[in-house]
Amino acid sequence: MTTQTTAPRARGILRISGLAYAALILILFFGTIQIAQYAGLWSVSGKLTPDGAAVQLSGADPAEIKGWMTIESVVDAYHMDKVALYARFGIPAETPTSAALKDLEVVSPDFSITALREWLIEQAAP
Amino acid sequence: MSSTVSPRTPTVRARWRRPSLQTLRQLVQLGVVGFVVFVAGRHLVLGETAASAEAFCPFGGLETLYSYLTGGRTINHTHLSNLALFLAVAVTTIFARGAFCGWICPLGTIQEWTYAFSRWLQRRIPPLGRAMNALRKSLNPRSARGSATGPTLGQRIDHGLSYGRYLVLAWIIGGTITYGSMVFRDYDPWSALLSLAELQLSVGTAVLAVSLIASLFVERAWCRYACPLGATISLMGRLSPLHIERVESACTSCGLCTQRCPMGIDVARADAITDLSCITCLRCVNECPRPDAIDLRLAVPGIHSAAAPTPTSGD
Repeated sequence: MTTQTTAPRARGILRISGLAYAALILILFFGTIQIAQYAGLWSVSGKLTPDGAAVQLSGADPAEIKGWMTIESVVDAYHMDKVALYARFGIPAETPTSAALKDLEVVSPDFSITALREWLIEQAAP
Repeated sequence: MSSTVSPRTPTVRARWRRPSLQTLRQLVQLGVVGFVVFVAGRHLVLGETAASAEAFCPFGGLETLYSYLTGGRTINHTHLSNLALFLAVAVTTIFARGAFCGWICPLGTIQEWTYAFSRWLQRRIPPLGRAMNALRKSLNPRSARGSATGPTLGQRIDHGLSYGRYLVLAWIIGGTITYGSMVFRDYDPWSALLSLAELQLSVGTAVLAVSLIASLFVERAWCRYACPLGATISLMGRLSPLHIERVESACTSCGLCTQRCPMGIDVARADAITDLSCITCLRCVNECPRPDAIDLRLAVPGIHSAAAPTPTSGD
């Protein structure tokens, strides 16, 4: 004789199969990413805007400065004297202006992105 | 013709279900790890012109969320993609509980592989297997937990350490808001793993090494004790209408579900698995020899079927 236990089913509670759950996870996770991409909330690099254009320094807010930017881009955006910048942070004179800011921390112990931002704010203050 | 179905004998349906869903889960995990390896390799070969794998870290999205909401800007090393991924994790969690941890997170996957390697070693080195059995017994929530004995030392340590991830989360949120930078980045084992490809070592490398070594002994050790994203998901998961539910009248109390739970939850003693650490990997559901004894169910958060009157079965 067969003895089979039947589990009671609660009222108002829906049972979800494992495969339906797997599909739900994939739809929710990758669907949300897809929607974010369509909505323009997607950029995998700080060098590009969501539209794909290159990020440019406005010269108005030092917080925009990132480590991948060059000395030249900062000097141009903030209309500053390159010699003053080099002297302030002890950057060797032979360092090319095409050098990335993040690489300056190696050649100049006084330099950091935060220190540069603070200095630019001080310079802009009346 | 009649046959006897023992409560401990897997039915045909259970045997069929077991490999398919867990295989699917492992394929999803493998796909995500493969994608991360591809992105990291591309970044290594092409350099700065290719996206860094860090751009695909959802926790970076949480770290930069405050800065983005208050200043419209992402903090260093994070991008809009991090925010979008965090949003995807949040949406997935609100509807499907800890699914990101159990099905997608590559760090969780690597820990599962590490633990599987440990089990493989244990089968081949008997003394190691015996020692690990003793450790598992000490950590297993069903072991020696009587009214007389109380929790074992292992259970007490496991319980105490499980709050660690909330402390890590609080430190990161406080630090990020205060300093406006990724205070966790130097300690992040995931970031360290990606940096290993570029032969960069940091404190995070040590955290990664400790986590993986710990995963040889305790499954998903980083997830259980220190993962800040896991802590965030746990808290958000309380809003989810989905949870695993055990039907006591159909349960044989074999304890397989508890033994197989990678997060150490005592599934066999619970009616509804609302434990914050549940990653909804569904291993307990797949391992159960009684297909009707444990299931994933949709309900209003906070309400589960065990609370409702159920008819008595004639077992």
